[in-house]
Amino acid sequence: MLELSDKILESFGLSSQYSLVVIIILFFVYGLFALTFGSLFAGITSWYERRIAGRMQSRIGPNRVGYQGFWQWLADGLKCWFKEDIIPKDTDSVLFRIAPYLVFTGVLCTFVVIPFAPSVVGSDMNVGLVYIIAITALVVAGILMAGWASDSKWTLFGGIRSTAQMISYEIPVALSLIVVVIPAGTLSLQKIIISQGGAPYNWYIFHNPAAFVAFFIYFTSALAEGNRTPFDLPEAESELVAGYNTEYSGMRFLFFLFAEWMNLYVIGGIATAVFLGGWRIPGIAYEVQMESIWLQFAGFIVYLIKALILVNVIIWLRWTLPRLRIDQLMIMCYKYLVPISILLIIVSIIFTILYESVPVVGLVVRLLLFLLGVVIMIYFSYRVYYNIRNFPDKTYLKWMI
Amino acid sequence: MNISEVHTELGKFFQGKVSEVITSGKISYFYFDREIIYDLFLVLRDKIGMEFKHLSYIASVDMKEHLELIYCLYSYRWGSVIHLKTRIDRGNPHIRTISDLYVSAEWHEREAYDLMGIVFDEHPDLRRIMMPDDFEGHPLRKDFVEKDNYHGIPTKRDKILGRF
Amino acid sequence: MTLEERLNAVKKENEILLNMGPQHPSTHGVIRFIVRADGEIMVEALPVVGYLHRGIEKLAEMTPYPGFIPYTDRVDYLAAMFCNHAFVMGVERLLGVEVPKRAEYLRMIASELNRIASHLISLGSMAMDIGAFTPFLHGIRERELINDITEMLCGSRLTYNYMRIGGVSNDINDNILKKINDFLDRFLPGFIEEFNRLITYNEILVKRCINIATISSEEAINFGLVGPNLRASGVKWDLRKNMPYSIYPEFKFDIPVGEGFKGSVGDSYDRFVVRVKEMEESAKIIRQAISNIPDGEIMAKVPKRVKPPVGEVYSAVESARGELGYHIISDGSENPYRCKIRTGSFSAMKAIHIKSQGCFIADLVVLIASMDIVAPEIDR
Repeated sequence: MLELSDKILESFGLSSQYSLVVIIILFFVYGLFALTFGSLFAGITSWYERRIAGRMQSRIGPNRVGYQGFWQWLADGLKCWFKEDIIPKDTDSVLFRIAPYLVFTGVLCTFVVIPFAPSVVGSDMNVGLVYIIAITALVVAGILMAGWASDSKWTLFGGIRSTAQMISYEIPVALSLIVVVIPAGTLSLQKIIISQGGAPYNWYIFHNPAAFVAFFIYFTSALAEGNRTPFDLPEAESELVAGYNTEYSGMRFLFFLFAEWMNLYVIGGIATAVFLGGWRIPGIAYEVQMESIWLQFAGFIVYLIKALILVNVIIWLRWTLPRLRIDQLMIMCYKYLVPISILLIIVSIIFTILYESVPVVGLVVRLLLFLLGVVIMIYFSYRVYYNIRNFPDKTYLKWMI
Repeated sequence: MNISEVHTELGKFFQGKVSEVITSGKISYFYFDREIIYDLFLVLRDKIGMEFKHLSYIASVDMKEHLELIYCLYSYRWGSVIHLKTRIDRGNPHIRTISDLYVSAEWHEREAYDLMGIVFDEHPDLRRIMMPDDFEGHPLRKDFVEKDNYHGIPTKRDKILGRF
Repeated sequence: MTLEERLNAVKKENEILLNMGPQHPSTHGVIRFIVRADGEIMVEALPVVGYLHRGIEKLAEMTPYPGFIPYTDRVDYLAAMFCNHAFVMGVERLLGVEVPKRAEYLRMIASELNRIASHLISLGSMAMDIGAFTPFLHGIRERELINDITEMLCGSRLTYNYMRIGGVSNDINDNILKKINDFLDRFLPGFIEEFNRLITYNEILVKRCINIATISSEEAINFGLVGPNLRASGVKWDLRKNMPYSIYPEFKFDIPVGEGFKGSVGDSYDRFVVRVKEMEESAKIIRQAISNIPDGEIMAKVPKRVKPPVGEVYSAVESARGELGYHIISDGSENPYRCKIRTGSFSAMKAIHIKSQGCFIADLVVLIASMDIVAPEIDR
């Protein structure tokens, strides 16, 4: 951001005493951009999720409002905006009202460190990862407020379950991200992306076996943080109606949902940045990419595609798997994920030292892990082919097999 | 065991308290006096050779002069089903419960109490089950007349097929 | 006693009182549970029923015998063929009417199709309560085909009113037979395999369901459980084999019994798997039946005004939820004197009340879903 502001001042020919003003204006612009991007993403993800859910369940999703139902989310948003804002009588007036905003802000503030393109990032803090983990604590506070302030025992249940779940799963998230920080040597997201290579075998997911496992642990723990199935017991429909957001209606309710869908992009974005090479394009060096505007735009698209693939996987998991019970959730976190993550950090340290002393081992292990990844993808495609072949229901992809 | 064998077995224990085996339509049953109900069912449930461990239902019937209770027992071990009946007079509709022998009897007896008005002594939780708690009357009786209103809402209309 | 007195009698300090009200996203109908919980662990889940009481037994005393058949549909609308069949069988036994063979075959085919449809809904609801939304809709997709078949057969998709005293109302033709064949080709083994891969072998479902509310065989018999609940606890009792009625003795099929497939015998997972296996067996029965339906009449000669002689009868069929029985007392007139309906879900409620002690609240939902209760059966 500072370089950008200097460039702008130079091109306008103004002296550097206005740099503060320019920086503040740039921050506003970026904030607006992040807000727009987040809200648009949340809206479009809602349409996409409903279509995917419909197709997985042998039905069509929304397809009336606009071409293939694309403007459904706008229609829903407008409807919710005009709804009556019902606030039950015995709720705690301040907490009930500000809880959605806290949840929304907590998720939105993580957009500050997520890099969109090589030079488009809100603020490339050198403690980026720690900032993300810290700011999502606002979400916990918001949910607890929502559960308590709605004057109902069921929402209290949902709020407390959610709080326990979210603060527990922050530990594996942090630990599995540290597994990658050790070879990278920095906590800032842009520098982690820069220190990876472009080609897939240079990504951190294939860097050492510990990072490979850490990717899956991060993915699972981030799902639990975001209250998505299979960890959505706090908002379990069949027991608690809607958990902590039962008593909310209209736009306040939509804020919770917005935060949930924006969180999908945050999960995907951080996983891409840390494990999957971010905006690096295979075969192009970082300096070359920084020079050319088109390559930066291409980097933006590459980042978006990688994050969207992960978002796709999250949506897919939601509509397939049942949900875990609260004690099974906590057991999984404390008895399995946390010890494994700690072990992975130690393994990662060992491997990093090994790579520095004997570089050949690094190349060999990386190629082996990359081959393992390729084998897994091939097996997965084979299972998909087998399932489509043997479905009893008419699948529209049969013509291509 | 079928019903006649059960009857002969039970005749040894409960002389004079059980009636003859009556066949009416397609089922056979016998009556027993209501005082011996607990011991009778204890024998039926536990005696080797009978082992009627499954209580299927308890039906309450309103024969105009008296009330009747029909018990239906299954024996899965020997693959047989028997029916038993007992008479209860309308003025004093009390009988001992068997819900400590058969757990399923608890809800069947509650239904009999609710819909027919038979009171089961020593029942752990005798409440109305299907009608609201403050309902008056026992609907399944033949002489049941509905009240005019329920909490102020009229229950009868003058013209059934007309408008309000 | 009233409900408040019952609750106040056992009140303790550190327990909270939660209300799983009559309106419930868990789709089992209008039942209310008052849960006394100590944190997440339940002390008691008291069922309160009666929200769906329509007085069918009292209505039976004012309705002529043939006119009561649509009422019997509504006793259990998900398995309506069985309710029809049991009532009609009872009246036929009283009258001494012999039902023609073709009608028996048609009755059995329709009943077994209905069993498959009912189990699809029950398994799908159980999966949906645990959080997997997709198997329910896959089950609905298959059930739509069954609904289309019954629509062609008798004109209605849910409450069939298909059986009459002495036979059935409509005949079957080659079109419908072809549709049933297509359905079976698609259902067994394609759909069952896919369903099993999707949800039955799913690790999360297994972990949620094993060792929840284990009911041993002695307990199950004492609680009065019937049907798949009883068979999952290890008791091999099925009315179609042990007390045969209709033409079931001529067909070869197995009775699936719970063996503790992944947990202990008689837990919720056993009840799930037993229902899946029962669907397979029903499909096998229909396959055997379709190929040799005899020719003949579909309805016996029964007088217009049905007046059975004085007597009583108890007729029971093995419905999707267990033993559905009608105890009909006739006094020689056109209406029954007393018609008592014995349903499987009524006894299952008491079993839920007892088995819910010590479970988590999340397990209560699994327990209720695995017992496969429908509210109209309880309240009639």
